[in-house]
Amino acid sequence: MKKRCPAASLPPMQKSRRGRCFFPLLLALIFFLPMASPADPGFLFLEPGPEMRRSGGGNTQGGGHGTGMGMQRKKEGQEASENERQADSKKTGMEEKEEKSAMKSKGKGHPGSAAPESEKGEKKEREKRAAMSHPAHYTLLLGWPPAMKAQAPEDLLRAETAILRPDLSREILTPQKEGPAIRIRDAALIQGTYHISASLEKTDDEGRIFRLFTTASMRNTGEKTDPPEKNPETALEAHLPWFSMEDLSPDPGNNFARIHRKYTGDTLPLRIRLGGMPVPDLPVTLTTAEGWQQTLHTDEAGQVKFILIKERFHDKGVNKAPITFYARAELDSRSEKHLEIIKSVRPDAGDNPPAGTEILRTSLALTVHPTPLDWESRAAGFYTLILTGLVIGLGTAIRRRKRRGRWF
Amino acid sequence: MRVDRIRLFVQALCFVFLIYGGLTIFSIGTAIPTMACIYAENRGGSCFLYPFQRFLSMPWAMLFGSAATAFLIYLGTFFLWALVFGKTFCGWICPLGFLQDLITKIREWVGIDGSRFAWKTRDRFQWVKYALLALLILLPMGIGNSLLGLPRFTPDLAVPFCQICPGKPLIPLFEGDLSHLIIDFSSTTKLVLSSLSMLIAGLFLVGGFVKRRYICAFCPMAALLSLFDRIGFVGLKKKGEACTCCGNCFRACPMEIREIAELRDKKHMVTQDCMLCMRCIEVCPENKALTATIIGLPVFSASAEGFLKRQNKTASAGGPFHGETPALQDTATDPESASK
Amino acid sequence: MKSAIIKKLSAISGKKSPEAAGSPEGSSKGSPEDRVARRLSLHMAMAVREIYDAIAMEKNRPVSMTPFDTLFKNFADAPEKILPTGPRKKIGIYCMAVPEELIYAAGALPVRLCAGSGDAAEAGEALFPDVSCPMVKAATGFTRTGVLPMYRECDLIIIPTTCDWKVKLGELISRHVPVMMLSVPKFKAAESSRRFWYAEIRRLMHALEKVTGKRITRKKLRAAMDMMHKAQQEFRRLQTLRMDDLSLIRGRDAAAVANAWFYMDGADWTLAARNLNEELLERKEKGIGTAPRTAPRILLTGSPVIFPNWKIPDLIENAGGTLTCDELCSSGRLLWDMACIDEPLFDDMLDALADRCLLPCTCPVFTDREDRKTRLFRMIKDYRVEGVVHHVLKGCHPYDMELRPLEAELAAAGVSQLKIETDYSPEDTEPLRTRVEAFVETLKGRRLRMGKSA
Repeated sequence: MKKRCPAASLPPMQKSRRGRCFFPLLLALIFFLPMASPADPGFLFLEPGPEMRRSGGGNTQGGGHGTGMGMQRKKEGQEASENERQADSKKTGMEEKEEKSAMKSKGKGHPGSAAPESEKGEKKEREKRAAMSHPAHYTLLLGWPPAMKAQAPEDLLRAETAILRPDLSREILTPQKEGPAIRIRDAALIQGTYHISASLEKTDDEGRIFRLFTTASMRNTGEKTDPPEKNPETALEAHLPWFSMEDLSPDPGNNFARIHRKYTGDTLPLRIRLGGMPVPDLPVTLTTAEGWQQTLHTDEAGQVKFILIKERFHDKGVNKAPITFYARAELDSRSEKHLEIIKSVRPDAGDNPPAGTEILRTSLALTVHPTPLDWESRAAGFYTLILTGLVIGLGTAIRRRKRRGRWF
Repeated sequence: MRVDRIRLFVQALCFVFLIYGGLTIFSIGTAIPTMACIYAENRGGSCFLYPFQRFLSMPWAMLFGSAATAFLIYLGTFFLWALVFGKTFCGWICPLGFLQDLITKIREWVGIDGSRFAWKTRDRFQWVKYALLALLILLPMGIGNSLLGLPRFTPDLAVPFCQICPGKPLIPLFEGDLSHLIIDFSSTTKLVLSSLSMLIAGLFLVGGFVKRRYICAFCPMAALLSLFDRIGFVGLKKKGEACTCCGNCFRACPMEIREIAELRDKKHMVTQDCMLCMRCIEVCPENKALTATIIGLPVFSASAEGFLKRQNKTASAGGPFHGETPALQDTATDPESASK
Repeated sequence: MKSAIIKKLSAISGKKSPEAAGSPEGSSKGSPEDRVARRLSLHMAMAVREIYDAIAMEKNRPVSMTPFDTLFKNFADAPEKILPTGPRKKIGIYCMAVPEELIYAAGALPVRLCAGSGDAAEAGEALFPDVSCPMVKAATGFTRTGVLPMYRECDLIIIPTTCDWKVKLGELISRHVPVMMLSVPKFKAAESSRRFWYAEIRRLMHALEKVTGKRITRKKLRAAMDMMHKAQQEFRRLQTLRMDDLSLIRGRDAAAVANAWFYMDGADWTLAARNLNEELLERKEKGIGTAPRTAPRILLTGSPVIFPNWKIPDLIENAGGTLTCDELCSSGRLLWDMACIDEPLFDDMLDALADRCLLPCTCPVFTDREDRKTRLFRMIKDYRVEGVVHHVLKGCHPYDMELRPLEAELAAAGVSQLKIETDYSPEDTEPLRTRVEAFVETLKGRRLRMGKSA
């Protein structure tokens, strides 16, 4: 995945285009304007960390399969950084052992998956499988999309993050500083879908309370376990943050070895809920890493359906690398309508509303791959195949007819 | 016992396993010397060449540094596979080979006569697989490093062989994945490679109706595996003094290997193109002229009896043959049989 | 001895004369051709009877030889009954190089017309140089005189251009019968030769379809090939039985069985051969042999031995040797090589037939000796042969040419050899008998010496 660092990439872009393109400049201004007030923290995002990206993009929907698949996707990430390459190399081939040791040193096997000691070979196999899966590894980001800061504020260490595993065990994770970034990590040893949520509360100088929420989910291969006894739906309900944005994309099925990706041009159904209640008529904004954005309003069920915009705003040939799309929504208690919504889900606090203004923000970061239809043509391929077949087949048949005097 | 039937069965099993085996979350690794395509998502094991090309495209420092152990382990696995099974991968396991054999079966069923390469053509194309092998080693190397001071190749050339291998568009089709049946317009390299891929895939499908196993004559994997012909566990031995040079083996050989019929003095008959399908042993009417061995122990030998038995089955497989023989006999009311 | 022959001759001639007069050629009494024909008919009948009189005195002969004997006795008694009767067209062939399966598939009966009669050779002599192949002479004699009706009544005669004599045979007999020449490439190893041969076989196929008026289909061809395989299976069984330590069948009789294939329908022959094989198996269990175990095992190779020219096998076995195997195109090699159906498709089967007729053939008309040498060495090993007899017909140049290097190679391997150069006439029987007896004695002595040393 190619993440664009705005600090590095945007200013030169503005410079180079100043003469001919006013539009991006304007857009950039619009997006940077809110950042002008330094106290506004922006939105909270969970972006797939490098360990997930090495399998090719760390799709929020698709966890990586182990061997091979990653490299297949790497093919598309042309500008893969050296760092990524290093990680990639570890993926190749028959190298589970090394990876396993790496897992042991880094990862902390979560207690929920502590399997009962059984036969040694079986255990080994299980470890192998687990090693082939990817850890849940997310970077916490704070800011206004698309210009996310690489240098994370220390505030993020206070963020409350939790993970809901496929076996429905929920655990609070502690954000940790890794280099400049603040990350959370879970070994993710079980096969299934993992839901991660994060929230952060922040008060600025003017006394405004910002409550920031975000979610992410990933699929992972790994050790197969029995289906949980509890109802995953309710568990998910309980796990989701108070003000939540859910990706309602259809369930990709049970094949966890298969990669599921989002492509530009796909639809993205989202649902906004506050305290479990759908929020109607709320503007939801989808922003691409290049700054394109669209805003739609939720319907009665709190749902909104985006069509992932195709990004064709490039001049360096075809961009095949995945990009991050940011969806965000905001409830501001200064608005009457929003205040009512907040009050309706918080009847007990209705009498004494929190002092000052309260701003609720929820968001979702998505890795989206450019649709291959931008540069691939299935029809052309198909016709070439058929034509080749026809030409060769007919040619041979006619030649043979001439030689042998009969068709068969 | 007809070996070709058994072989087809084994091939079908291996095909199902290699293509759908991943659904059981079970994999036999990525160093298998056979064309089990890595692009098939539910695969139960995959081709050696893809990771091999990936490894080679690393910069030297990494290939011989941090990735060296992995590379060695990986090569070792390949070596073991090739040593133990050798060319049986081509004849008994390869999914692409199975597809070609299937097409041949369809062709036989429809009744289209096969054709053969002219000997000269056959000999002339021998180098192609070595050239492909050399390319699939050199091109990836040129991506990660600058070879002989040349500029580094474009990453579009990554895994060059996989991009033209007919397995890439065709094998994922069995999982309903049409996404490799494409022409990629994103760059000239991609355009050329993907067009080539489509051409070769078309050739593969149609060529199967013309000639048996003709793609195998250009397969770089066969070239790689032929390094293990002599030391491999599975062998094919010829007893020159029993051979009558009747040419049955040559005619039945899907790979059209002439040496098998012509060379009397050569003992090890696993030649560079041989895929150990044992067809030659099946059609050899001379006792023990040809023998398949595993670690030197004979497992299957040619014999006149076996030949006749198998031929009888081949002949009677076609419908109204039994009605025909009495018709031939009826007219033969000669005095000899009457006197008896 | 000679007086006995004269007596028999008179007896036979008395009995045979009405039949000879009844033959189509017999009407014009005075013409020299007619006289030749009558003499040939008489002499051949005499020779056949002589052979069968001698056979009648043999002990331990398998009973299952009867159908074959009946066939050969017909040469004397009823030449028109040699071939199976019926509406089938008859296709004459002259060599092993013609794929008989193709003829069967066309619904016709292949008749191999290679002749072995010394008297017929005399009858045809006028057209040939002094030293020439007696087989071709005899065939010409039979065709010109019409003594054996099968030489005249064939609807097509296919002559492969194997040796020089056959190349010219076509012209000589084309006055009497329709002839088709089949060009045989002499250098087997080249691809062009094979392609050429494939094309020739296709030409033959079209000619056969034209003559018989039936289309050769894939199924018919397959059935014919299968029939051939069954015959070959019996043939191989017979040859394998002969590998036994005990000599189960006289070499002459084995040659007769193969020889009968020339004239019999394939399926009938297979039946008769199967009966014979079964009987031989029984005899093997009972331990009944035709020769004592002490008899040296001899391999006969060279020019074909065709009825009624059974001089050489008789000489060898009467001298006390046992003819365990032969490498002759008239018997030991006749049905050995099998065509294989690889893909049951028309082209492939035609190619298989073509290959069968060309590639494994050890006939010396082909350029290299390697195949024949390998085969001989293999037979020597398989049949535990003690001595090799080279049979060269006077005028059979290809075998003659090959003889010297082959002898040298066999001698280098320590094989005792005897070269017999003869023709179809019985005149040199006595000197040959002496030589063969001496050879057999040598082999016996060698066996004794070896036994002592071992």
